Amino acid sequence: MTPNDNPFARDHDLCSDHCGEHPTVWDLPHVPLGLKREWLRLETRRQFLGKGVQALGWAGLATLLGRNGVAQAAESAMATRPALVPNFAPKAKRAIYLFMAGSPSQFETWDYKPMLYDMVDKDLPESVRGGQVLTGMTASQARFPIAPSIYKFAQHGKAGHWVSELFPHTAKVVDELCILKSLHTEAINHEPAILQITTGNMFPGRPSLGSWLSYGLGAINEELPTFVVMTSKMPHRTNVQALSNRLWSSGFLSPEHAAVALRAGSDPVLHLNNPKGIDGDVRRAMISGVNDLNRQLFERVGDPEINARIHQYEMAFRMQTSVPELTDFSNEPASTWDLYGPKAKEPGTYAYNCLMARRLAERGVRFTQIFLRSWDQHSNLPKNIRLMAEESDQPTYALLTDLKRRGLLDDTLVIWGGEFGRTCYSQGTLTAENYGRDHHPRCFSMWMAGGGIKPGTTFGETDDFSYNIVKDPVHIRDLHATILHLFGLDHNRLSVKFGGLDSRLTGVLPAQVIDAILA
Amino acid sequence: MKLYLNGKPAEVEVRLDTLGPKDSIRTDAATHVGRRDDFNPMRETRFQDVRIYRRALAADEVARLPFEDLAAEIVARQPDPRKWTTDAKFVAADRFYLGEKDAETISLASAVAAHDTAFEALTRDGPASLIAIEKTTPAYSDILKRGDYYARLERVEPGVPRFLSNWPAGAPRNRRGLAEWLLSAEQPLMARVSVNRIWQEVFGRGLVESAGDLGVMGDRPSHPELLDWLAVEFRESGWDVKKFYRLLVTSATYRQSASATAAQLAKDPGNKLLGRGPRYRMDGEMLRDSALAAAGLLVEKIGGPSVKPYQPPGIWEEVAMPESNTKTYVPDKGEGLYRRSVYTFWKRASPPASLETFDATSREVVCTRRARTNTPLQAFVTMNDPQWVEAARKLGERALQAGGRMEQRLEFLARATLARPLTPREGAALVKSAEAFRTKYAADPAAAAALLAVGESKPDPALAPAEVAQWTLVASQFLNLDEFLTK
Repeated sequence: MTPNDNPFARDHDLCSDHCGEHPTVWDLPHVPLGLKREWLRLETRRQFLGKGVQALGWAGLATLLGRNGVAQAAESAMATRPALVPNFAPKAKRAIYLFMAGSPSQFETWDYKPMLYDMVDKDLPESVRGGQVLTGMTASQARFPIAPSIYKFAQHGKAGHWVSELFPHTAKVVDELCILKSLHTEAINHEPAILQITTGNMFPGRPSLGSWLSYGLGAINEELPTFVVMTSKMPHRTNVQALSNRLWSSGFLSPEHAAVALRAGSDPVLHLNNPKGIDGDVRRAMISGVNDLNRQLFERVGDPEINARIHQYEMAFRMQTSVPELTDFSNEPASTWDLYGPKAKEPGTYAYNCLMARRLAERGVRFTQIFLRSWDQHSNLPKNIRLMAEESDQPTYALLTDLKRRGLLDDTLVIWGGEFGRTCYSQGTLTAENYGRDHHPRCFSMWMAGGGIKPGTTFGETDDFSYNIVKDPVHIRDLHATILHLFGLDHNRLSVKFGGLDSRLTGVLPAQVIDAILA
Repeated sequence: MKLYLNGKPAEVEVRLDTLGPKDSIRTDAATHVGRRDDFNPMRETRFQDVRIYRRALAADEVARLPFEDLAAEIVARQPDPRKWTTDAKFVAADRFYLGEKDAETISLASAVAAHDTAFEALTRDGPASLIAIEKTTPAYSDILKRGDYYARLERVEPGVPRFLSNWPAGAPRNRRGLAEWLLSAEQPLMARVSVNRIWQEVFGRGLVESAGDLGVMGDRPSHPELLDWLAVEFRESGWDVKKFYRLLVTSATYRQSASATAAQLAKDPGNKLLGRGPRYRMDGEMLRDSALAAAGLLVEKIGGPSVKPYQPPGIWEEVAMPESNTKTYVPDKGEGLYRRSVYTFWKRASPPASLETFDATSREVVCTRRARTNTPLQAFVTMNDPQWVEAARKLGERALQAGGRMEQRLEFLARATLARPLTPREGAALVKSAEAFRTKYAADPAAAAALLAVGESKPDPALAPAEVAQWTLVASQFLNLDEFLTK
């Protein structure tokens, strides 16, 4: 495929916006005429993509201008900017990604391995390990004693999925899930692994999944961000991994596609609230005066950016009403609190964030990513994974149930998972009550639900030790290709020129949409 | 329990004491010093030496505490050397030999204090930084077959792309040689790229728009002859950067009006042909500095360690590891709040939030051309960030201090922020909102007091709070005008 077949291709270089003039090869010697014609076709298209106009984050300003009837002749090019359209019919309109940072063990969650009970404290056979390089944290261990899950499994739902007793609530909706047991990655440490699964690349500086969706599909609701990130309070603090803005950055895409971090508490968007002593009426008078002068400036100078500024301030004023409405849970019915549990009333908890995610989904936020840290159980796994499961099980179940009963689950994709798997052998001493698990990149489990996913299914298999994949491996780029597919985007065509390549979320190695899990 | 700090009794404030006369403080839990809770900044303190004694110390023992003297402690425990343990004998002999007999140790030890003083002088204005020096052996790299570091092919030396120009004859194959090559007259890129960057900064876009790529994948220059002329001019001036800026900002092209007719906008919306003056929203750092300067708050001190201006609590905590040394953001007091933005502390995992809103990058990857977006979040910063509210308050005070009637005060603000007089229509619009603010704050002293409390600087007590509140809002209007935010 040539770049010119790509309806999404736009030119970028590092950290640039896509606002200005674009290069032309028209006057270059030695360029075949056919290629020049392709360029001309693209140039024409680019003129519709808003020459000389700055991008307005959070929102298609074009639509706003049209709606408010204030578009000036000078900015008509921007006003006619067409909405970006998917490559094919989407199944998902929005997604909620429940990111379990630190990586939950597959053994205590979704990958039931009964054979391990026959091998308790025996050494991991060398044939299974296959000479794999281990992390510095266990490479020097004298032995690798096999540690089966201390938590029991039972079959649930029509499909009879094996679910760990740590997730009694999620077990009730297991028929909604598609459990993937054969994810794999190259990264064995958190930072590269978490970057790879959030941005498709182990190196920082790439756009995150949510940014690609924002770039490819744009906003549903212009008064809210397209991509929202929330971090959650942790029920315990052992081996906590750092997060960073690079996990939700827009990389080489325009910064308007980066996530907006929604903060817990009364100022959910940074500096949203007026300072004490300034009420709504004063703010209204202040903005009216500012925009009056800005309008006069526009008459003198004629720069369409001034109109963008006027609408920037009007939108900010509207958001001062719409965002508090979003974060005001007082009109939630009693059934909400029964469903999500009492912790949902405490800002910043995982339960609160799950409820917020549903409210964001209702209001048309394209991509919401909730981070819950502290799943990195190198030691004291039985105790700490229970704390994490207790914190997250009911809210996760509540979110799925709530989306379903509101008819949102059909076009909302829910994704649950961490950045890699964990070892079947114990890190540190194995006792009857206690053990730990090291990082393991060769296989891990995730689940997806709603949004065009075939419910009540599993995909992929691991060996008896959940050490190697024996059937249907899913690389992270396959996962990304599938997610984009559900949104109606072809991962091969959603690309941007960067670093001399048509850069894509899925990179240069082949990636496959997992057809078997599509509804 | 008694506490001593550097050999002197420390003042103690007892917050909690439920210990009965027969209770014990013996416990299996670890004792954390400075860790009442996870958010206590004292957590980050590192202690060189903490000692806990089970007995009360005599006054002379306390006085000796700051001076570590293991030999003295050994003697104190057991005066008779014949009864010392092997370890104790070793320590005593070791201290005696190194401290009294070994000339080299004695001379080195006596130099420590002088070195400490020198190091302190060097690092007084900021932490010491790593520098690069040439290795004594030539640098090389191996070509790896398909990237496999076990499969080494040919060994390669430092070099430059041959199609540009050759390595200068006789120059060493190191950074010195590279510098000579970069500045050689045969090599056109250094000058072209440099002048294009400066042009981009001054005019808002480069003559080659892809400022980070002047190769075949980059954009074509809009004015190739001009680019070459500027490059030669810059090189022949002896790479005089200041002179080059002067050349650009005094040019007829730069001094054109930014006003555009509809016809101009239709033909050249991006001003690629330079038919009008540059006009673009300034970067976040420039905006913050401009607001502080207009308010008279800017501290123009040069150099020194990074500073931490206002930032709402919780932003670092949300992403940091509990053991991180940049886990808790504690804003500075005093001048650290008002230094130029170039001195703002940068945590790459969580860059300064208000600057990031204006497209400042995390500084994790190189940026040759910063994006320029326009979002409602930016309006929240310039209207509600305490830095900006305080700047508006001090700017409003300046207008009041300047005296005169409302019209003269508005003129003062116009000159301080826009560097031009107001038109009558603009003045009328501003008077209208200023009257609204006056009505509000005359009737609501509590609101005025609350607004005056934003920011660390104290309001001028000679001014009436209601008036300061009113003029804070008027000044804030000026700081939020497109004309103020735009170059």
